[in-house]
Amino acid sequence: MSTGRTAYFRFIFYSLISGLLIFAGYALRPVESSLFTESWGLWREPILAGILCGLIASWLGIYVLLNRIVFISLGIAQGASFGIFLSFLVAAAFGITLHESPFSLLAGLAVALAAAFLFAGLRRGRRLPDESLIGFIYVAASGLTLLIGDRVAEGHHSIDDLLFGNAVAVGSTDLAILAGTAVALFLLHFAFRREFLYSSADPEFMALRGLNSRFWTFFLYFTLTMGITFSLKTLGGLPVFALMVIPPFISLKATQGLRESFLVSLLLGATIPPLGYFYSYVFAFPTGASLIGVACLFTIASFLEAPITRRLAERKRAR
Amino acid sequence: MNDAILQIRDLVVGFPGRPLHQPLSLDLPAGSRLGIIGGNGSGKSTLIKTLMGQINPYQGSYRWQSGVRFGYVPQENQVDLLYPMSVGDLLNMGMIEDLPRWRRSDSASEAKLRETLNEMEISPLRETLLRELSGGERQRSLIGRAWISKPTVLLMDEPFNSLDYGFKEKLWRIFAEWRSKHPLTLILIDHDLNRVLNQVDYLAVLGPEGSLCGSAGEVVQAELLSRAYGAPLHVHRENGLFQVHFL
Repeated sequence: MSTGRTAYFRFIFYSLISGLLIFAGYALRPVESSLFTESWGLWREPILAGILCGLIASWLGIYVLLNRIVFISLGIAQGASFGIFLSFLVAAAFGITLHESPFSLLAGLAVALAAAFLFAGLRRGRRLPDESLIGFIYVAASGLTLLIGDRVAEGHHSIDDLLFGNAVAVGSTDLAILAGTAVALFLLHFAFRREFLYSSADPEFMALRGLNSRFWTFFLYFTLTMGITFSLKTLGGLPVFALMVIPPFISLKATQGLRESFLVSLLLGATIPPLGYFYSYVFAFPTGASLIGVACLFTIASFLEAPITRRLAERKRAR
Repeated sequence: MNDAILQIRDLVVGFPGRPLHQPLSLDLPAGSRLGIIGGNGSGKSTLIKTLMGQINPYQGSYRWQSGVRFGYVPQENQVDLLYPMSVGDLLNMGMIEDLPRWRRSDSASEAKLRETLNEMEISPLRETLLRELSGGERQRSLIGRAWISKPTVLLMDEPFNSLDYGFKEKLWRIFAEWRSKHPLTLILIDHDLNRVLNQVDYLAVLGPEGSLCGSAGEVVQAELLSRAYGAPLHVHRENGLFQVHFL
């Protein structure tokens, strides 16, 4: 895997962009920016959680983009949401109030896994484009959620937070769970990085090398679902989707190798959430939307970065 | 049985309701070279995929000797070019089981990689992305990937596609060198009868009208080949080499 001059350049470039955005915030809203810094203690857990979610999403997002399943996170998120609604409905039938119970998250995870595995299984037939399968899962989960939504009297606020992102109410327990999830996912992905990559890049050849491509595909989807579902609870659906798409998109646009792709995506995944929180506070934007806005600013910057990176790569090859 | 690395009995490949050729039977000795030839749609690639276990036979059976290690060069690149993989990454695919799990590489893997890059004459392209390679460079990389793990059976589907004339000739010498150093059975598909005829020990000629499978000496007869191809042809020998001309 190549990591060289272009990777260093991209690291420096996006670090500078981050610095520029912070400077812009301080320049435009000095009072609010200072207050943000002074109230760091209040923001510490949410920002750390956002960084962890960003790292998870930006890493997994590389696989999502390379496998051309960009909207899978929305499908899985909708499946998870339906699972959570279902758990509230079932609990209510037994006279139980779930509120913040982990049971609701487990239910969401179970349905999300079922949706992901259904997609992986249907995809193997290769008779339909992937988008149609994801669309089916998304629509089915959304429709089912609507069907039972009216019957769930309790917990709509919690469910809204899950869907649209309540990125500020992060407790230390949530943070610990998220950190544990991140560590587990990264360890798994690092240990089996070649199996995940090669079995999706050329499943036929790897089957001949003794790799069970079907197993590794399902395992990849399992880790995708775990990462998405745990991140949803912190950031919500749209910000997670944005982090799963935008950092990998920027990274892969001008990448010169696999390793560089992951590293640049991780850098962006770690940088965008805290900047999103910062701008959210300073300009009084909704947190999730602020995060997405910052991601879009990085995307605009990437149109400046990509041609330079490609030129550097060409010059290196010419030598 | 014997030292046959592959046994084929009345094997037919095809799709439901559509056999592609007549039954084939063969005992292929280890270390030999089998050429599979035939017209478009005759089932050559399907036969190789069947022998690799990816497709069920339409009819008949085959059996590999136990402990066989496969290397495979596909007819066309099947690696998704959206993946930013370099030539080095591609070759690593071929020796995934030899790579250290927690490190990028080790000295043994690195030595294998360098050796294969040199053999395929693609060392300067090690860090080049696959999507930036020419067709010939990509083909050499695919051959390198198939070879790097030192398989005992090398299956190649039209390996000479996109290669320049000089490297095509060199490739046969490379195969001969590999076979001299390492137990290797070659199975290759080519649509060019003359290119394959004089380089293999066994031939399988696939055709809807008739199929042949046997030693090259047995199979290379005008009447038999004409029937298999469904077209008249003439076979003659010049300087000990067979030449086939369609009439």
